[in-house]
Amino acid sequence: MPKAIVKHLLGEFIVDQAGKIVKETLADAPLESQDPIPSPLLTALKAQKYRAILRDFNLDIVKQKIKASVCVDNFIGQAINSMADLERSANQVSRRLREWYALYNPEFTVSLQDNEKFAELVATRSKEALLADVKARGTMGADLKKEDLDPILDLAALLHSLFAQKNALHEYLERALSKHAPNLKAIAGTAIAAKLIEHTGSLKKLMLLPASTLQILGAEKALFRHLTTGARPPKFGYIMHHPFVAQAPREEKGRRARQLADKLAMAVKMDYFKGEFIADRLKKELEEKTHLPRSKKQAPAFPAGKHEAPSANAPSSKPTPMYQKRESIPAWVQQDRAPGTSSAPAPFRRTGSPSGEMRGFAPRKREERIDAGQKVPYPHRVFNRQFARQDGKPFPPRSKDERTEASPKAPFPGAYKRPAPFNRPQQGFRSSEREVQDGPRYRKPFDRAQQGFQRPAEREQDGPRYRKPIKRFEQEERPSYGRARRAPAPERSFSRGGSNREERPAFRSREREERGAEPRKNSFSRPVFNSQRKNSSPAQRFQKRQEPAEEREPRAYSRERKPPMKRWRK
Amino acid sequence: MIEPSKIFEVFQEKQALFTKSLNPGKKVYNERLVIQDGVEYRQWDPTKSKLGAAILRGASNVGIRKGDIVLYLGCSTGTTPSHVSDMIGEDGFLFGLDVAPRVLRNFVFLCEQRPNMTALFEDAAHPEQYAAKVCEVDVVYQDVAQRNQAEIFLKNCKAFLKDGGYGLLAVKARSVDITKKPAVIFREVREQIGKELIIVDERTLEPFEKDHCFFVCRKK
Ligand SMILES: C[S@@+](CC[C@H](N)C(=O)[O-])C[C@H]1O[C@@H](n2cnc3c(N)ncnc32)[C@H](O)[C@@H]1O
Repeated sequence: MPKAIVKHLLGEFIVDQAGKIVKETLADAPLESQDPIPSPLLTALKAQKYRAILRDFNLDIVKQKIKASVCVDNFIGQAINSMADLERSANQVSRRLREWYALYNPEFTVSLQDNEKFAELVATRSKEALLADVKARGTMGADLKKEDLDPILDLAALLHSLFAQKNALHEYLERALSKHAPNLKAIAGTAIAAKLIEHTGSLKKLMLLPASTLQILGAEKALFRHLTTGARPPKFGYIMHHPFVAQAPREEKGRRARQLADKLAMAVKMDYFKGEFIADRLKKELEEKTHLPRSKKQAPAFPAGKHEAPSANAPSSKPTPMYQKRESIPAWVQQDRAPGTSSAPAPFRRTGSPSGEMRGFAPRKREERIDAGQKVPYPHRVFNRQFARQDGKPFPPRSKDERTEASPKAPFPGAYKRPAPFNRPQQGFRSSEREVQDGPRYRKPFDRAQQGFQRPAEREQDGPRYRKPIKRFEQEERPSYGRARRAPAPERSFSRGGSNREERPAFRSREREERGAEPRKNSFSRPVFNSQRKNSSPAQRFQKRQEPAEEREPRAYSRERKPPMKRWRK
Repeated sequence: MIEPSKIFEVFQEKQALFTKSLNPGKKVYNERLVIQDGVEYRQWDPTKSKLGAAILRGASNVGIRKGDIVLYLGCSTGTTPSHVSDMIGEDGFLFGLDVAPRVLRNFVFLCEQRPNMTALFEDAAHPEQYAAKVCEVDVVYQDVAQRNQAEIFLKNCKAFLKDGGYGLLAVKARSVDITKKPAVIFREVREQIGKELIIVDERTLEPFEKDHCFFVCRKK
């Protein structure tokens, strides 16, 4: 029967064709093995007796591997982070020291801005010497006792050593990087090179990145914002602080960042594979690019006018054109001009270098073209992710109808519809002339009767939707004082009322007439009883509402009182 | 009052989950320790552990039982593995695997405190490289924030999971593709692993983790 020897971490196993263990030799130390393990053997190794060895051997291996994984990359990462920590602490301590020391020697404190120098001088020199240096005439500082002065000087000494430690770390990084990544260090500079390595974790991982990723390392937040919401992509990450990018004019920065990242990517690859030193060559190539006439200062954009495309044979005043200059404006640009309007701006404006090498054309601002009376299509360019298709296909063209239906910004049918405005007629809204002219300002309320709305039968059956009001005031009379709400009927009869004639106000007013006195103007200030009013008790009013009003026009849809809103309870 | 929950070896007091501590008196990630009837329980923080979140979200079966052997891919510093180690008990065994030395260092310290755990410094994407260091397992748990999570998961299940064993997969949508909708990614993963495994349970971990989904599968 053919047998095979399989090496496992635990030892050597001789297995038969079915994978059964025939013989096992357990090792004393973990064995290195890349053998494929037959599954019956794997199953057999589940046995409890192997557990402890499996655990210990694996832990031994892991410890060795972790130990071996420590390398220069880790040191570089820790050093650059430590430098950042020290810098932060030093700034904080400096502020405190200045504040404190100014009580003692304000003249010198304000005369020196550099924190590092300040700490050194405070720690090493006396007040008198420093005052003499700044040629102060007298001092506002207090004279401190030794016990009050000592803590200040101690703090200064500490700050001085913080700065010294930071500088030492910088030197350490320079040495480490010169050995580990000389090309990267020469182009990026010590701090940025170290930061790039720290961010990716190792030189190897950095080497595996394409230049475009390298360009935006450190700007992950902006990148993810760009990917998820369609915001503008970041132009640069850590390399933003590189002088090649930082000192470029604003509109140049993106381009410079890209060029720099290109060279960095090359340099890192050279470093990782221990190649030759090419940084000088790469740097020279970069420097050549900075001399290209790209900035506005070096060459005026369009001498003929800001928005006008230059005439075909305008004299050019450019020192070293990098690209082949086009001789004339291409035909398609001129065709696109609005016919007959020679002064209208061309629908395209030049992009790329303002100095005049043509690199492309971009549409002119929409507003500008509308002002010039040109026909302008709707903008189709929508970068928002919420409109983007997942499969990456282009959107189907929109027809005119869809455009009016959906929002004009929607790139494809059904992408986004603005909800129809809900306009309630305002209270007290009077139709003005404007409304007569261009139609009502609001939608008519939904007329249920028109739609043939019928109250469903079962609703009638299961009773009213609301409680009937309790007839509380049926017989009761409640006098209401003051002015009656409703004007009393103009004709008053005297048959009703109390027995005492004298007390009746109407009688009194007749008396007045007989006396020849003026009738009292305001005769309403007497008490009016509800029972004296027509249909005035709540019960009566309710009764009246219940009666079918024949004289009224029958309503197609009788409004009922809505049931009271259900209270939300826990 | 801490009582057994519907998951084996997991205990519950209202909305708080607990496991019986295998190493009494020691905290792993600064969790709460509760002693009841002389037994020490460690509280399981669902915001730090996706398995805990899945259980609180109502997963009725996570396939882990006492005495199981677990392959844990992406063990990190051992937050979840410590609770799994509690669940499987002394008779169980857990292989924790990670690629990052920094976090594995802490995990090794944890392993040394617990007799049923060991660590592997390997890349889960290459199971052939550590095939000779493990044995067959009853449960594969995977939580690696990688683009091809599902593929890695299937490879490992194929190589090490016993027939009828359980595979647990935590999918983080943002690490697969941040431009796609999470629901789309979960559907793709479901289709991919559904071909080779039986999906027993699937749930999003919404209040605890954003855009995560937890799959419980069984090998045919
Ligand atoms: C989100 S953490 C896991 C946290 C852990 N499950 C817990 O709840 O405590 C993901 C881990 O997967 C590890 N990882 C990522 N890719 C890996 C791979 N290919 N192989 C192994 N581990 C990986 C990472 O190093 C990280 O520690």
